[in-house]
Amino acid sequence: MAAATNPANPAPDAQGDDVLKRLAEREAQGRSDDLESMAGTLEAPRERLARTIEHLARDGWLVRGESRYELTTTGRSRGRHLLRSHRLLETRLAHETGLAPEKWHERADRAEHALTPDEANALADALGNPRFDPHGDPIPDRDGNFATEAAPTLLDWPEGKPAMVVHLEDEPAALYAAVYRAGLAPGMTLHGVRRRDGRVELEVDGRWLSLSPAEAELVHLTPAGGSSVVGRRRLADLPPGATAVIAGLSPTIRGRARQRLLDLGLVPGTRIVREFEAALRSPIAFRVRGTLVALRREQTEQVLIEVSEAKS
Amino acid sequence: MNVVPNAPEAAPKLSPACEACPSRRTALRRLGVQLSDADFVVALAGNPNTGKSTVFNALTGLRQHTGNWPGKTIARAEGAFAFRDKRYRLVDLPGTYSLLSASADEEVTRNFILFGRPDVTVVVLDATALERNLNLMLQVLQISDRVVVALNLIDEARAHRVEIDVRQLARELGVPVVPCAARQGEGLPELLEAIAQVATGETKCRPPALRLAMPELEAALGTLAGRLAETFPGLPQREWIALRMLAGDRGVLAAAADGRLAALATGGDEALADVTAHGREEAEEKLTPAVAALLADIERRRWRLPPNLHDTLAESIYGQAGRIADACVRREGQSARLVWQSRVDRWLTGAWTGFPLMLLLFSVVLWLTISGANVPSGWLATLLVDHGHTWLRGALEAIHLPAWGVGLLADGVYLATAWVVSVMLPPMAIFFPVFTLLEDLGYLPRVSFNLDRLFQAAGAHGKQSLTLAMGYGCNAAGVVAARIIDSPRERLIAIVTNNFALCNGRWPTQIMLATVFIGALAPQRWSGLVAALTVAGIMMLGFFLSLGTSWLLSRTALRGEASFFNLELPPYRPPQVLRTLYTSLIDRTLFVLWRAVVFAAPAGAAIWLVANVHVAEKPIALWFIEALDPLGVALGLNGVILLAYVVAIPANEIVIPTVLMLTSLVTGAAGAGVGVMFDAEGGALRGILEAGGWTTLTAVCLMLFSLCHNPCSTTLWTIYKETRSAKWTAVSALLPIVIGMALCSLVALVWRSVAGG
Repeated sequence: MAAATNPANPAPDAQGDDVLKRLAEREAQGRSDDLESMAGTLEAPRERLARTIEHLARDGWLVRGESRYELTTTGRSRGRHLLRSHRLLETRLAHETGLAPEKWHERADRAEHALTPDEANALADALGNPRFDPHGDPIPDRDGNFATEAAPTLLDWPEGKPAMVVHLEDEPAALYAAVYRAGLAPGMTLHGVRRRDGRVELEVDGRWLSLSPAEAELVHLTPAGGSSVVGRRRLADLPPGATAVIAGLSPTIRGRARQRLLDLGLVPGTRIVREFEAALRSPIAFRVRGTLVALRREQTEQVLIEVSEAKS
Repeated sequence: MNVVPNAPEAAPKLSPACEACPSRRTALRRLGVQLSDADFVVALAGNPNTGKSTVFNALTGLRQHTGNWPGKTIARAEGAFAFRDKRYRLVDLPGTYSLLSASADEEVTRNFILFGRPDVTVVVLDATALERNLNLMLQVLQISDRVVVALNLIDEARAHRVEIDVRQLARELGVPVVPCAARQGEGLPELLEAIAQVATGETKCRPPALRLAMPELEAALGTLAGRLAETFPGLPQREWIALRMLAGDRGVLAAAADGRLAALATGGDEALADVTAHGREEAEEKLTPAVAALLADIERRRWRLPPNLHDTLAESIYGQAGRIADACVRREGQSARLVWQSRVDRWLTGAWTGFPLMLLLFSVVLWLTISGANVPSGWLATLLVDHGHTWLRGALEAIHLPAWGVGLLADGVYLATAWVVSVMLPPMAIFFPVFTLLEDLGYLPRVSFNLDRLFQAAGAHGKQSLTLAMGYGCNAAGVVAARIIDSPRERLIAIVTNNFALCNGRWPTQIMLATVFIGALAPQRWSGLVAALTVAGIMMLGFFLSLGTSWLLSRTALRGEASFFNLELPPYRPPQVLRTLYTSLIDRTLFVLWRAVVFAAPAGAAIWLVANVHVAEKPIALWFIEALDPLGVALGLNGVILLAYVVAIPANEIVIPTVLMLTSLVTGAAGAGVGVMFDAEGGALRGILEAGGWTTLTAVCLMLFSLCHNPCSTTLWTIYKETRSAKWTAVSALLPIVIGMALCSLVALVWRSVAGG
């Protein structure tokens, strides 16, 4: 089947693959799972999972230590290949289809088992060899190498300290969908974190969001450098006829969409004038570097501008 | 010297007239597609909609279609010209904004310039938007140092009161810069001169280095460029190649693995540019240990790069473009033209004015086409059908051809062809030029702008309205035009739903039925208007069906929201009326007409044969017609029409001639009134059809069925080529038929129950 598979041992079933993938990820974080925690994350009944692990051990994918499991070389290479496939597939779904973000994980989970290493490489090439998936997770490279470190979550983040989102946990899907819809994505800078009435509030690019503790736990952060985050607004808020300077594109614009906007000259430091809107109020035409470019209303929410000095 | 003077050489004494003749001064010979024995290869690159195709046409004498909307040149075109005894092969590359995104277009452009090693790359810049165009310019300078800049649309820039310091620009870019207005031919002699000088090495280019404000990248780039020099001694443009490798550019990484970089380093020939992904497996064997180690090193380095590499890169290139533009461009106050254009834009896209003006404009185009086509159609019919047919029969009988031979050639092949020509030529000769004028003006992108919200609600892209607009000419062209939509999902939707744009092969059917059956219901002075409104209504129905099926597809098989959107609104440009008339007549009208004739002639023979070859005492056609009749009647049509649609699968144009021939056969009025369909009031035509059992219902249902049935075989083949999917080709064929049958039987059912018949 795959180059990552030892011809001597039969390929694992879908659950076996999930176990290998999970172990490969935990291993890279310097941790391991026992049966209990794995049954929890994979949402599988213990007996069935135990049987799967037994088969994996029998076929030489992993060995059982005292209280934990360790991958064999073939097991590690298949686990990393699966991680790579999964994250590449999610990246493709995010870049090229209009599928809702909470669906990415499920789709990728279904398709990852069938991908051969060559197909995964071809997919990576077609996507321009991305290094991170849309959730901010590193994609293992061709040799299976990747760096990963556990980051603190928004729930534990000190009040007032500016932060950058490095990772969004995509499970449970319902909570992830809520966080995504609130407008958070890896790469965003947020500040003004505070706790009110048991919820976490924060400011992202001129918009205040409020998350429940369970939602906040999905958001992993790293300290943000610089002060550039203060005073940003969104292009959507620019009144007709007014001029602004572009501060950047939101990380929620991905893939070719992002590259195309950059190609059209929507790069930081560019003057942008809001000209007129279409008869049905969207798209809106902007003058950028001597040309007229039309953006849909949703896109103007994702372009960040500096508040001009003439604000007062 | 960067700007080349007009008359570079002292010529022997000639008469003043000769001396003034542009053909002598430039010694340009346009060679069209004679590509052999070229001394030099010249690539043509530039942003979309900067007039690349116009420059191409002016130099080669070919007629690539031009128009004022981005992304028309979708395939690579090649032509040739000779200048001062040297032959040049000119390659028109797809228009791109950048070389960084690695989309298919950009890869074609990048690979050709980098690996194809053209002797000269001409970059066409739009003088009215220099800063934006410099983005691509600076990137091209990173992969080639034999570049000539054609600073096009300089006349437009003047009209916008934008002044460009050409000498300064040439100094900044380190390459010759030739201001020109390709549409008027201004500056072309100088451009040729500059191309020749760079090709022969007389002019040396000194492009500036790309200044990247990225300290964390500089170190990695330096090291990697050094390693590249070790692995591929003599490799040019090392810094840029290193940069692309770090950015994970598949094309460049593959080039390292399959030996193209090595060939580039040793001065490989241009055949290498044709090494495609297919040849890669074989090439992978050429992967030497040194290259493999280099690639592994790159993979490792990539982890240490900043996550927003692409953003920063784009920012620093644009930063440099901005600095150069500031140094070279002077704007003299507010341009009156710009003010005027934005006023026009506010009318054409305004909340209360946008849609009414759009409808008005399209109605005028339709009305011009319908009412204007009547008279010349009549003339052509008299000439070709009445006189020509009689004369041909006479001539064939005079050479003692047997009766079946005369029938096959004169009544079959000739008559079908003559009908197609007289029905199709006049409306096309009016519609295409008028439409091309709108296109030239720059109005079509405004239509996309206005309609995008509707398309967005249907999960599609506003540019789908452009592909639909192309579809009104020819659906196959509309399907190809869907390439302007970047995102795969929306592009597929545009391809599958393009058939609902009424193509010109179906126009005559609609116009004729609307005139003869619907227009005739109104008082005579209003009948033309009523007919035009009817056709407009069918067009609108097609538009909404396209939207509806897009919605359906994006809720089912192609689930998801529109993935990404961008649309540029080019400035309005005064159209060149005469040239437009000429080229649209030659390119589109005659081209489409020729295609129709090619299909009509054999179809004419087939029709004559099914009508005249008897099986068991009955013509074959009658057997089919009788078998199809029950289904036809259920759809509000009849067996004759369904048989005509089977015969007309190769081309929609011949539906009406087939229907008429078969109806004449059924009613036994064969040959009675071949000229009937061009009778001004259509009374005689109506007579024949009514004798064949036609009612107003039949006409209405046929108009609906003509809108919704399978695309012609050419379009289906194009869909297959564009999607590479038998499944989507089948969907494109079946979806309209199912909708058409449902619509027709519903109308027939309601009509009959209301009319009680």
